[in-house]
Amino acid sequence: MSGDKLSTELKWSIDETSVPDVPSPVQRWDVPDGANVTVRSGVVAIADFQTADPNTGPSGTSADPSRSTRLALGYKEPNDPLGAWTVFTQEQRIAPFNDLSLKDQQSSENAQNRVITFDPEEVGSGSLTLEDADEIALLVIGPDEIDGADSQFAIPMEFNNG
Amino acid sequence: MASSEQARQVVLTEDQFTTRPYSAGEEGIVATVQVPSNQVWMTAPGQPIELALVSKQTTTVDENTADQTVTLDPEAPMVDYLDDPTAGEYTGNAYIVGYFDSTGDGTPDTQITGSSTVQFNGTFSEDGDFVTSFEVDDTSGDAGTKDCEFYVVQRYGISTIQKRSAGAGNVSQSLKSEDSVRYAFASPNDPSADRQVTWDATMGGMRGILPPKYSLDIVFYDNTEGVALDSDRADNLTIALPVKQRGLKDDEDPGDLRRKVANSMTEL
Repeated sequence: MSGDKLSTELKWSIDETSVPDVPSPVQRWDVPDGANVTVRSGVVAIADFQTADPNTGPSGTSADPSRSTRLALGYKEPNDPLGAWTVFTQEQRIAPFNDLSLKDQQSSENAQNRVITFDPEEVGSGSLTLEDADEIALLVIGPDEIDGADSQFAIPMEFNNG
Repeated sequence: MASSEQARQVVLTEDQFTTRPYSAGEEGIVATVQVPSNQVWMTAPGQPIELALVSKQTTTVDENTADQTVTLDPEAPMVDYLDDPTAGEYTGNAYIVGYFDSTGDGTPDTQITGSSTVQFNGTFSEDGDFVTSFEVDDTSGDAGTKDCEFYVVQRYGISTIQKRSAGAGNVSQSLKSEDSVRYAFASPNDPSADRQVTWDATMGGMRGILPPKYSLDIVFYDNTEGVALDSDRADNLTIALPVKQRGLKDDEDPGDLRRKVANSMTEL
């Protein structure tokens, strides 16, 4: 069905808190029973991240994660070892998301920095379908604990029930 | 009355909807409207949608005290198509609307403006495109704290617009589903912004048709946050859904039409 979003607001999304300096999820999506989800390369993401604790940076105390934070999407199949995420998108800097407000990101002009691009070594076809019991995660690495419950992320997806 | 041959486009607004209570953690219908028995509706592909669901936040203020900070949790998105309280627009159509209990009867039903007994003093704290807190003054001399209610556009959760068949064993189909914050930051009126949320162009066929007696629902879901559309004072609830309406044609049987549409919904 068209118009669905893989977003942090979904009923089957799970909030996580990332571990500093370790590639770790801030959000997991456990594909519901009987459903499958297709995500495509080249879609524009909308995202905003907040740290678990206010950090102290050059600009003072704020809840914005460090600009050195990088993010990517990963997937895990049921028999994969715990925590073994296969990263399938190219790493992105957090800056293009956190520099712009959620409102400004909704304008799709000049969105090149916010395009999610698949890693051709992992997914050749530009589209990835995940079956039920597979999981997708939004992974980050950076010096801060990022709070999934307070963060926002959405990309278009196709959701098929059965 | 819609003529039987020509469809005309109307915008369904919040006062045509029946609102229902909601509690966090469930996926629930929060507003619904039914197609009259002699009409057929169709979503208008490509036309912009406005949807701002509001939550209720409560607090108390002390008598005769200025500069009392009210912290919003969750924070309020600054919605372009509603009045802006940070610019002094303390109306019932703002993205934050406040009421206080002026009579001590336990019901906060007097609107907070710039000159009411409990009043906005004009100080608002913002974080990006969100208001995080603001200040009110209580100018009364009487004793006792006052209960206040604030209706704030909900930034969390998913809001889905669906059609639903009538009667027992009913089926429903999603017509539009977006994060609430995307509807809040849609910009249907700004000619230079492309932040519109619209009916999908794919909605031209059977999917966009609502036969007689079908319902058009707004469904909300969030795990922890709620909405309070069923309150008498949720004035800033905004729903604007463009639909085409026409009368039932002489040779159309409403039962056939309903069956045809219901079949197309279950095939998916």
